[in-house]
Amino acid sequence: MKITSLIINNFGPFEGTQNIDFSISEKQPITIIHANNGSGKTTLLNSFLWVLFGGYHVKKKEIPNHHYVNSINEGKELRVFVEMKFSHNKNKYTIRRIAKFKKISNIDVDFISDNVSIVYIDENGGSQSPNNVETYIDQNILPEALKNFFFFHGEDAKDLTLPEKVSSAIKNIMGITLLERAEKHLLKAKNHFTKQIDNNAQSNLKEVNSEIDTIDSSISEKKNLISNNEKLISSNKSQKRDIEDKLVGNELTENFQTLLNQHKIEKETLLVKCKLLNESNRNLVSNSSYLLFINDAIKGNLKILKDKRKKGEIPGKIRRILLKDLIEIGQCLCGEDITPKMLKVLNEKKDAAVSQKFENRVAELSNQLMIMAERSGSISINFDSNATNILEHQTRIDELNELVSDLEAKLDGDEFESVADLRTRIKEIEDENEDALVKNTRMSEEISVLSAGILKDLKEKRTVLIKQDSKQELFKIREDVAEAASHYYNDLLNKINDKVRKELTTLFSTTYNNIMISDFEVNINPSFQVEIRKRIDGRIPTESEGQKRVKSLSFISSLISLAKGYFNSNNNFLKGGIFPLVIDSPFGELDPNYQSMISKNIGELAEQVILFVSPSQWTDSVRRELEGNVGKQVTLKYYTTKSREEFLQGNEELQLVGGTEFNSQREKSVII
Amino acid sequence: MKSTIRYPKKHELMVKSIKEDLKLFSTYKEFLSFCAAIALHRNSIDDISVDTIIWSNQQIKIDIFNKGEFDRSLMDLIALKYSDDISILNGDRDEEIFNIFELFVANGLEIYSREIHSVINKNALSDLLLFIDKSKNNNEGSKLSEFTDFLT
Repeated sequence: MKITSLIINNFGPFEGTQNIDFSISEKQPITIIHANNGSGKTTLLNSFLWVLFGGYHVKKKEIPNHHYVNSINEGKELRVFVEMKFSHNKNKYTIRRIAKFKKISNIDVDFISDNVSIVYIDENGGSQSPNNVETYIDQNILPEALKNFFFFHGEDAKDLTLPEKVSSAIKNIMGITLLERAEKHLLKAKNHFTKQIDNNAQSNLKEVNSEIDTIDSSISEKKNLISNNEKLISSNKSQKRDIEDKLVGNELTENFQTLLNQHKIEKETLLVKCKLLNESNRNLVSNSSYLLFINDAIKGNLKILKDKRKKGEIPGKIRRILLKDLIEIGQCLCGEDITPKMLKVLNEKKDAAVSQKFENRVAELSNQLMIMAERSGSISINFDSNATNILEHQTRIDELNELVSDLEAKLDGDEFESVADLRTRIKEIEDENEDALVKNTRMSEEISVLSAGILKDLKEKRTVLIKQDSKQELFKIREDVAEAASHYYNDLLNKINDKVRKELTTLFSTTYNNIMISDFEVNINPSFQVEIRKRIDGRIPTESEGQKRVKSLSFISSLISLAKGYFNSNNNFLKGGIFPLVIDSPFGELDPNYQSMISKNIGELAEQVILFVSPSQWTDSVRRELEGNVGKQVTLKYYTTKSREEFLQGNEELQLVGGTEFNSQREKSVII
Repeated sequence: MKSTIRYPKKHELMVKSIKEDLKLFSTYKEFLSFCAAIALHRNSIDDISVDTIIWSNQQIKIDIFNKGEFDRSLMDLIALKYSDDISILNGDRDEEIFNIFELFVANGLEIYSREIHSVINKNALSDLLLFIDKSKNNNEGSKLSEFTDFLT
């Protein structure tokens, strides 16, 4: 199946009739559909599925475009359709699904019906139109059970490798379901003949049949229980793996949590210390803080006073007494008489000498300045010491803030479960599995005993009794044939399943390791569980979201590749098929490394790949990796009602409007 | 004889807020002394001339300063530094000492208002501590430049 084009008419946000052509080139198999969020990506993805299978992700009455609904009179009928053209198995198909609605109010409609038709032109140019379209599509184009493997949102991809999905995919893609139906039918036939034998049986045979029935029922019941236990064990194993993955994460988380708590406590302690230091500084400032600023001035003043002393201006008491004595004696210290001129000078000097009060004040100031200098130094040291400590604490607090922020970011969104709880859960699962295994072993033994013992005897007795009645012999032969054929089909199914599973494993492993550029051992086990181990040590790695996405895409790719191989080989039992890959947001929130890995390989995954990408996913590295494989690019543009008139006039210069102008009414998207 | 220390009327609100609301200083006297010391430290008394100042009616009795351990010495210190004349301590020039002190208070308040009070970065106390630290280090960066909200 290779999709050529899609026409959508008044479908969801797409007003009027709009058309998308897809790349069908072998060398450039990728079509990129660029679209902002809200511009109709999901609707477009679902329109593929709607035209093929009729299901829709919202209520049917939400399908018609609202502008279209507005333009129709109340009570009138509306029609919307999606038409898809594709080639498949040398035929060219056109499938169209039309839905009818009736307008019942201004914006509301009632769904009336939908109808799908398919027409194809075969390789000879003949036109065919199958009647039962749904069955035709399911059996010849794409089984509905597989739709989600080929049309899906990137975020949902990881679920596609769950065992039940893998099993279903293998059976459906290879057409094995037909064999399953045949096996069931043969078992039904066998039971029919058994019943006929019983209806015509004599009492003793009836009695034996009844006993056989009872034992068969018992065995069947045990087998069911064994089967249920096996499912439980399988599911438990998967659950255990998930918990073990989580455990690894949570052990790390628990360490982070411990570290986070330590950091927070340290930070709180430092904050308290800072507050105390701060309080100490507040006290320093609050009282006599001026002392912090006067050290220089004190030094200056002390120098002034020292100079005055040097000059003999202070202290002045001795000087004053000396002058007074000299004047009174009238004689100099050398013995010479003091002249009147000298006396005048001495008197002037004596008068200029300072008073006692001044002497005292200077002395007191000198003394005070010394004390102030000492106090100023002490306060200054305290202040500086506090400041240094605060700064050190603050530096550490900043470091802690960063560490806390990092740790909180790492822990953000993790639903934290304690490691001990997880270990307890693992232990419970292991105990439950052990219990189920013990029960299964016991029941298997009981079945063996019953089958080989009493049941065997009863069946032999039954055969002898039937042989006594020639009429019954024919039913017995039919019963035996049907049973043998059913067993044959069962064996065949198991072998085919096994073969396909192994082939798929090989392809899967190659694709996965190619994308991951690594060496993992990939296996789909008999229970259809996907197991990935490191080849080097056999350990199961903890998978990141990126690895899970690669795993799913690799699986789908191997499925597509295997189906294509069988399709081209004309195998009678395994029909296979050719399928496209249509993915909305293939890269999601993956980190750039995985985006590159997937981009690089996605063109190889299928013969046709259609990708819906938002601008944020269309990174340089993605574009670079994809570019060589892209055959077509389409953009979905979204217009609000404000630009509707311009849109209708076909104006190319329309403004692309984002969510800020969203109206409550459904807006429109357009394909350009 | 002068019996009070005055400060400019224009800083009335600030002085009241610093003492009463923010409680950064234990007394008005402490705050005014702090401002005078800032101006002394900066040697910055040219900005304001005493003649042009309109004084606040709220004045602080000189007796209050006399009771302080170093307050009068601070006044003498400033006066001596400013006048470079030791005779200012004669005893009969105290009014001059008080006037000089007021001049320094007025200039210091101006600095406080301009550099601390009107520039609120974190909070009043941390801004003040930052200022002190920076001034002590002669504006060569503060040890406390990383002060943040925890100082509240």
